[in-house]
Amino acid sequence: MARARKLLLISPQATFFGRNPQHQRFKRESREFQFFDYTWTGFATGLVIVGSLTPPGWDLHYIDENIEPVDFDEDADLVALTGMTAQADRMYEIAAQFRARGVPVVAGGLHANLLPFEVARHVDSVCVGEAEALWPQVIHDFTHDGLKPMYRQTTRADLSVVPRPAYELAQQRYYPSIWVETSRGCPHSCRFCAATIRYRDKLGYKTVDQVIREVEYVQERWDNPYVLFSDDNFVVDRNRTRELLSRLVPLGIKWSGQSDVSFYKDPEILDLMHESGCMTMLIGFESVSTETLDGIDERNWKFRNLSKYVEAAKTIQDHGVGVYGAFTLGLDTDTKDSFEATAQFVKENYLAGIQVSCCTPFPGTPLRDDMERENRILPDKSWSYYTVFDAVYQPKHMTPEELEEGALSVYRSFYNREFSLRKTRHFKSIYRNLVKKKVEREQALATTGRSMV
Amino acid sequence: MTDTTLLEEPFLTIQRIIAQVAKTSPQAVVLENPVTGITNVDSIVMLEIVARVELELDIEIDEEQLFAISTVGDFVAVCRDLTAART
Repeated sequence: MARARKLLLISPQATFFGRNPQHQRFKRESREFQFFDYTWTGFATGLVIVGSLTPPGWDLHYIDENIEPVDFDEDADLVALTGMTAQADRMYEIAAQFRARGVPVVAGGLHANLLPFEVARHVDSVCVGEAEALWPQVIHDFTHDGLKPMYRQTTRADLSVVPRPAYELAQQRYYPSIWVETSRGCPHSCRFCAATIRYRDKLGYKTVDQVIREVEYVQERWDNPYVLFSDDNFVVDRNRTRELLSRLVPLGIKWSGQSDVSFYKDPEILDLMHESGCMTMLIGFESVSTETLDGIDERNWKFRNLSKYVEAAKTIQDHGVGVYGAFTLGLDTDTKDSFEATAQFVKENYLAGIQVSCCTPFPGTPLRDDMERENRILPDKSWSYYTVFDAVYQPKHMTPEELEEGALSVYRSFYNREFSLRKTRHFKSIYRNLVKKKVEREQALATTGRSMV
Repeated sequence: MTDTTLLEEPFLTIQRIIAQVAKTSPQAVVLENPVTGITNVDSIVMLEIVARVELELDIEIDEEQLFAISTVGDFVAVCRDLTAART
């Protein structure tokens, strides 16, 4: 019998917070921040998708270097690497080790999509596009000794027919949250966002049946999994969202997702989110400054919606769904006052959590083009500093150090015991109201057999 | 805490509510459990549990007290003190 070929699927190590010492110290010391960091940790989705597209007869080994070291002596016929820009330097080191042994290396993921020719210098083959559209050809060519240096996607993957990701590959590793993808793409083209520019110009969806089957599959493999829906924007198609949420209710999971604020005006979606176990939504507010939001995305959607941020955050949270606000600081209209303004907004509105990043000019973005033209990219900051928490360019109205320190100051003012107590009081009163209503509904149902409207 | 604690209020109420909210079996809820270590319970889920317990037992747990709770046993002790003080 022929020996099974072996494919190593490797996610290289990276720092998932600022590399600068102040950020690392804060991460070590803040219990409140550690909880946020812990909740949003999941596996490398691209690799489990590649696993699902690899034909039978291959032995697959998934390695997350943030959890376990890579054994460079492990038998392997082929290595597949993925990574965001912050992982690129390490991705090249890993590739070099395997190639020195004569093991071919293929790279995909965000950084390979952003800078394919740079990545091509370090690996045998680069995949530019979605795995579903490319990987079957890569495997075919490899098994016929015809691996090409670059594969480019020509047609968009139809997500409604893709196989279920091979979640089982990551099952034995310890992940607090399990990523499940229901759609790919985002209608907003923000100037600094690399993912939506390179991955997909048009939204693609899995069917609701597909998603439910995937969640059930995850439930079979993990005890009470915490699901993170990895969609860039979970609530774009409202009808589909309503159907999906209704179908999630009986599954009894707890979950989080990501979106813009637009769904706050849809009470049905808000109720269904709470009922289906939605704990938090990560919402890309980006900024609380009119000047900064003006022109931040192609349609100026976020600028037009700034005035609704307060009402939106309150409405969503009053429905029992915590808002994790994502903010990007250091854009050209930001000044040192922007930090205090952001801190004030997140505290006055009792957001459940925050992610405050330093604006990062990823390769391939319009922002990067501007920065390069103006000679503002810091040359001593290698890719491993592109964590989105380290300043890698010269901001207009402050030094890079002031940007890092300012972003951290927002974290410090939010993730601390005193504010956590105030936030807890706030959320407890929201939950008391929700529970009261729930109990009333349950009692009405028990006594009359009819649910209250 | 004595073994009888497991047969008495407020443990029984707390056990039932945690199991109901966390969608786990009551038997999985024991005094030694860290409150956010029970399967499916994180700090936000815990707030729903606290809100339900407060309503059922007609008590109000202060945030400082809440932050000091690390196990189900601590939670039971706080609720028992508050219900005793109420009567």
